[in-house]
Amino acid sequence: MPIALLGGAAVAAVAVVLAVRWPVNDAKRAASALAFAQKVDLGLRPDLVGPLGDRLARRARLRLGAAGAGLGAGIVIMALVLPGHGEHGWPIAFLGYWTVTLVGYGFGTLVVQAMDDLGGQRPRAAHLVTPTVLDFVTPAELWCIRVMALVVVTAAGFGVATAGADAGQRTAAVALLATSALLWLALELSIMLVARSRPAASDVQSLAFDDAMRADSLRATLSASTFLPTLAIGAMYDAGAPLWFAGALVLAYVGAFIVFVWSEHSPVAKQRFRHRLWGTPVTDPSTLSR
Amino acid sequence: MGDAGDRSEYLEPVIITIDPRSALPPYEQIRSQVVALASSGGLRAGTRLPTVRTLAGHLGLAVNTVAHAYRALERDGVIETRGRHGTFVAARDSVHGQAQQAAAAYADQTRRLGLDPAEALRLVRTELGVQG
Repeated sequence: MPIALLGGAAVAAVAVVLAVRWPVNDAKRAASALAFAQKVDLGLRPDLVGPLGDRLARRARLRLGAAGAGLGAGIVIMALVLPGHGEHGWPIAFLGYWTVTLVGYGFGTLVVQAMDDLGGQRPRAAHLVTPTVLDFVTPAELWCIRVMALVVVTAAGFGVATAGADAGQRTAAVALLATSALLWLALELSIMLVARSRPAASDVQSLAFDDAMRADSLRATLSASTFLPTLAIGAMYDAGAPLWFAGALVLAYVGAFIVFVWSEHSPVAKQRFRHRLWGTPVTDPSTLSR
Repeated sequence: MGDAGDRSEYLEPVIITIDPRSALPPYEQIRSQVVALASSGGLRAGTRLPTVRTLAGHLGLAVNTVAHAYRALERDGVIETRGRHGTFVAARDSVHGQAQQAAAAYADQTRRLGLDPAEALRLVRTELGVQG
């Protein structure tokens, strides 16, 4: 156990140090700002290159730090869970690992957003109508993730209902259900807070980049959670679920996954963040491609 | 967002910008921008506005500053508070409403300039071609 704790802490520490110390010079910052502007099809004024490059560098550091901290936590969680629960421990351990990573990523994005301050004497711009999650991702993306979350919780709930009298098996099933519910709640809470957090913008154009970065972060968080149901379904299958029940959940998951991937890569989803500012993308005067 | 996809023309962004270097106090910047957006149709009647605390946080202002602006807007009939449901853009007759907003803006401007109310009224009468 102490070795696992030390190993987890070491992995997390190395990742955090790398995230903090990784050298990013001005040229790299400018290149990443230009690449992001091209990706989201927004015009990039010279005065926005520096701030946008800084924000993208901070976000990249956050992602590296969250991944490392998640990996470190995963090692510790596995060391804690696996000896007690045997083969039932794997889904709990993986779900626990991903909960830590996604929660870290979601709330880390909030921290980065809070750090992107403009300073005292610059103009500050904000939406007059508070944005919601659906201003950044499409309803199809959001509901597919909710269907997947429901699949996870249903599968975990089935495990609890059929756990039998064996105390170890029951504890493992309850732990899986609790982890699944926690993951769902954390995901919903973090995406809502990211959507509503304070923007770092001084005019319409910088607010557009702020929205584009927010949409990108939200989509990445949702995308990272799409394979979680496989773990819960696998656990349910091990628990001896009826074929029709397991099949229905697998179908629901596969259907939601296909619709999510299709929605995520659609042009409508990529342009979604513009609706809050300009209505339709067709007549948006800020775009690079016209 | 439900009707966002139906809009085919360029829309005025519904955003608010506060410039700390402006001669106008921040509360007046908020007030005038909300009035302008409500008049132009950028902010539709019934649109829910953020809470005072949220808007203050997003704009980096004191809560009292935003509350002052909201009070002035409510007094002018541009917005209305519906108890716990929040603050909404008020439904208004467009011609009368725009005239009232222009009058409120004029009154504020003359106060800032230190004009006597009687003198301010005289200027309006002159512009309207009304005697007495």
